[in-house]
This record gives sequence, structure tokens and C-alpha cells, in this order.
Amino acid sequence: MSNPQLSLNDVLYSFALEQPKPTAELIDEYQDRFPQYADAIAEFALELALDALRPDVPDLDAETAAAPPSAEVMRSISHFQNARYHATKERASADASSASNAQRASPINPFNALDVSQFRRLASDVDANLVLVAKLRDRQIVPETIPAAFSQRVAARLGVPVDVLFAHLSEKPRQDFQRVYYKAIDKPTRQPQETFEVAVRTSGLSSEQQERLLEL
Amino acid sequence: MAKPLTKKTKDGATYTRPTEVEAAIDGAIDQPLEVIRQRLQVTSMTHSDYLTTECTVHLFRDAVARGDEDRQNVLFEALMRRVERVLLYKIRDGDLPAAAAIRGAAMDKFTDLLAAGNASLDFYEVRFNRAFAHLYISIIRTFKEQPPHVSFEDRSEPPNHGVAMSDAVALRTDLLAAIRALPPEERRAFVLVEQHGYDVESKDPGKRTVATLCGVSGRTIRDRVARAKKKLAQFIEDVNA
Repeated sequence: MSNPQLSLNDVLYSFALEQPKPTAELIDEYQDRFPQYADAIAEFALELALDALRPDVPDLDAETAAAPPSAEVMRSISHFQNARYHATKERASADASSASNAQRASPINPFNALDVSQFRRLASDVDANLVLVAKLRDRQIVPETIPAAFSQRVAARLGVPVDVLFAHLSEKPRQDFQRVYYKAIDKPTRQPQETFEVAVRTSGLSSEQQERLLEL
Repeated sequence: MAKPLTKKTKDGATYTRPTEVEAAIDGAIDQPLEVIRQRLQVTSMTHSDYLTTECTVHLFRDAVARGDEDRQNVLFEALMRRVERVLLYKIRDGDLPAAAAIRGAAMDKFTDLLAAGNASLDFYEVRFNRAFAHLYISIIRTFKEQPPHVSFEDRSEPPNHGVAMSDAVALRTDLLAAIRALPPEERRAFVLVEQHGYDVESKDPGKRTVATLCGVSGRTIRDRVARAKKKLAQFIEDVNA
């Protein structure tokens, strides 16, 4: 079975690895398997045959091995160090860009680190309840309608800068229901985002809590 | 055990290193740099401590993966010394036009493969010299358009860059240059018949022969090969005179 996906470069490497000196049979086999590269294979085979006439390289003597590197080798070392430096720099730049893109694509959800008890404590600390905090977590509240004082309070309790919380709230509402089990027959559908006021009014908070939050 | 290779053979299987290369890698991979440095000073290929070039390529790649720059530097220099030596024997001044430039370009290309961690290095872990032949032949081909400066009438003694050559080796190198100096159609016919072993012609119309490959009659091929042989014989006679 042939491997037609091979690039010309890989085909020629494979060809070179087969035999020290190409034969007509080998050339024919490769040309039949890779007809798209037939001319290149023929040219390469010719050069490889001439190469087989070149003298073999004898063992290096100890004196030459211990001698300082030649000017050409020194030039290669310099070339290598430059290439490595640029590769490292490009990698670092790509990593930074990728991290930045990842952050842009999917801001950190500061609620993810919370377990159930921490989640309850947060709700209590910000003078809210689990329902309202879950709406924040799931980005169900229009971020621009959230009072700055409340955002700052939540961010402080979460231990993140306000802009990180705001970046999370500004993302599209979560679409992933798969990790939650529902008793409903139909899969739940996404509700439209609410204003902060509506969210406060419909979260089962006491009337006093509602008033305090809406005065912020 | 060394990390498996990823390059595929023509049959779609993944390349594997020869058993002796795997064994050499297993023996050297965790050796301290000082030991590796000493082993790289061993020059006899038959010595048990000799690090084959296939193994050295793997050790270099492993040093890159580990981020060990000291190890990379030592192995890189050793590889380039070997590569330079191969090139000085294989691409001798006088053998090819712009031989020095070809050698320089080949060293640059190999350096780029190492620096980029190119997957083609897999081939070099299987059979280094043959893989490297592909690399420098690809460079030779890029210089192909330049007319050869070697002729039967005018041959000068090329510099040898400290690489000593026996008479037999020198004759082989000169013969290669003489083949290169043949007219292209004679050279191609000669190589196809004498080196690859193709039949000149065949009664089977489906069979590849030198005649079908060159698009001429069998008689023309025989004439070309005869002319090439006559020139090469004359060349050998001149050299031995």
C-alpha cells in the first residue's frame, strides 16, 4: 500500500534511505507509487547515483577531532544560536499572544473556583442569595445595569479586580447545560438577560434585601 | 526507550530506528554531559564508545526537549564537525561548480533543521548519511543551472581543506567530475545504463527503458553511452599518464 500523502521532500528522503545506490527497480517502484513526483525522482536518482561514486568518508583522526572548530563550523554555531534565540523569542511572543487571545476568547470565570459552601458565603457576604449570585455566575444579568457598588462588593469578595468580574459578566450567557441535571422533560432553554432590578425582584430576596440592593 | 519517530515510510508505516541505534540511544541518553563530551572525542567508528551520528542527532533533539542548552551546544558542534567532514569529502572543490558555496548552504540548511526541531530529523536518526545525502543533493540541484567549470582540457588541482585523499579516492573524485562534465544527454544515458541498470531498450512496449525514458531510439542511447565511455576512458588514461 502506498502513502500518497507524503510530500516530495519526504518521498525523496525515503528514496535515499532505501539503498546506497538506486536501481532501476527502485526508481520504477517509486515512480509508480508517486507518479506526481516521477520527474523529481528520476533527477534525484541520477544525482544519488553520482553521489555513490563519491569517496566514502573515513574515520576522523584524534588530532582533527581535538582541533578547534573550523571557521565554517563556527559560522554554523553562530547561525544556530541566532536561530535558537529568534525561535525562543517567537515562541514567547506566540505564547503571550495565545494567552491573551485565550483570555479574550474566554475570560476567567471568577465563580468557578468556589465550592458550594463558598458560594453560599459569597451570597451572604454581598447581602444577596444563591439565586441572584447564580444569575451573576451564569451571566443572566445585563452588566451595565449592575450598580458599580455591587460589582465592587462582589469582586472584593471573590478576590478579583472589578474588570475581571466585568469581563466575565460581559461575555455571552452560558450555553452549557450539560453538567446540570434537570427534572424537566424538555431541555431547558436560555432565558434572555435581565436588568439588575428585574433580577433582584425575581430572585426570592426579602423586600428589605431588595430595597438595600436597589439603593446601591 | 527513545521517543518513537513520527515520519512515515512510503507504505504508510512509521519509521523505526535500527536496533543498534535504539541501543546506543538507551545507553547514552542519561549519561552526564562530561561523558558525552568524552565519547564525542572517540573517532573510530568501531570503538564501543563511539557515538554514531544517528544517536548524536537523537541526543541533540532530546537536549532541546529538556531545554538543556549546554548539552545542545556540545552536541551541535559535534554534529556540525561531522557534517562539514562529510561535505568536504562529498563535495570537493573541483568536483562541482561553487562547491564551497554548496557546502556552506548545506551546513546552513542542516543548522536550520536542528534549530527548528524539524520532523525531517527523524530520517537522520534512521540512516544519517543517506538522509544527509538527500539534503546536499537538493542543494546541488539548486546550483545546477551554473555551468561546470571542470573540463577535460583544463583541470586544476583543487584545494583539499586539510582532507587527505588517497590516489584511489582522488581518482574516483576526478572521475565523478568527469562524468559531470559530460554533455547532459550522454551523462543521463550513461548513468541510467551503467549506474541504475536500466535496459537500453525492450520489445515490451510497457517496460521502462533508457530509450523510453529519454524519448529516443535504443541505437541513439547506445551511441551516447559509447561516446561517454570513450571520453571517460581517455580521461583516466590522461590522469594516469
